[in-house]
Amino acid sequence: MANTNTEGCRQPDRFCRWGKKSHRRPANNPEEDWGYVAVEARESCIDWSQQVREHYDAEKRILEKFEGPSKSGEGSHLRMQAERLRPEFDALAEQWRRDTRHLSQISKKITHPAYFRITGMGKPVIPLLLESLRDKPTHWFAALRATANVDPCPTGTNPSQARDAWLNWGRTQGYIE
Amino acid sequence: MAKSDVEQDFPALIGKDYDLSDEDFNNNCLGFALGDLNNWWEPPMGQGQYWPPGFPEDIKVGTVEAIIRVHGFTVEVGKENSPEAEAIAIYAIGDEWTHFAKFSEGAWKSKLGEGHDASRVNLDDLTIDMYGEVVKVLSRPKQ
Repeated sequence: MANTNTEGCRQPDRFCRWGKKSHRRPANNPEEDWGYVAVEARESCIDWSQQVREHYDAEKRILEKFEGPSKSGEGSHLRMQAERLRPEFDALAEQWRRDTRHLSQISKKITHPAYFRITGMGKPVIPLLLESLRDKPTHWFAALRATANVDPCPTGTNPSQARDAWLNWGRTQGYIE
Repeated sequence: MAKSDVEQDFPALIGKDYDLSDEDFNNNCLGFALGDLNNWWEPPMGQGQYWPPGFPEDIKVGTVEAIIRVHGFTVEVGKENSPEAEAIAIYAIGDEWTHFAKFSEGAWKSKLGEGHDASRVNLDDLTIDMYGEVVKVLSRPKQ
């Protein structure tokens, strides 16, 4: 008899079709049963992958609706991760601005604990840093260098030029519109 | 940033008649004092910061005093009286500079971090824990 139970199934329930019964079940012949199970499994795989694709496309459409079309899959993925960090980032960024806004030295500004925590968020915080740099210019350059592990600024740039270089880089990567 | 935000950090300005410019993150107090509004003067050179070549990349008062003197501010004057010519006041904590103010056109003005520059202030108005105190005032003799 063909094995139609679901014990071996590792897919999420909503995508699992391994155990479904079919109206095309053939006669009680073991060889035919195995062949039939293989066909049914293949159909199930196609069905499951189509649902995953539809699910992904739906998320992509939502993202594009709010942020415009992405230029790369990685950029789109990172921006989705960044959204989860936004509330904490906003609070830390505001605290950092408030506490360090009158310091005359960047080397002291970036040793504030809130700046360290933002940097510690890692790569997913890059889109938020770039947004902040675009909308309310401030010295996020050290945090960007640390999280992105690149430096797109030519030697000798002033803060405005460094800002432009980072925003151009961010757009190229699909991290910001 | 409104005056009320500035006065949170500089309570001595409360009730005073002073002016604030627009915010500008391109320059800091040292660049502003030296008349360079396009650069953030702080070592090391690079990464959006400017530091003149040939000077140690440190924040020692002695180093910055040498830089200021190169720009013609060569005469040390007392901090109690208004200078007769352009001048730069150096604020420091210990041996490290923290801030600068510039005297020109009969008034002290100072760029506050990456925010506004404040005009028609007194040196004492800016004496807060973050800046320490004025350790030297250097004047540029009239040509």
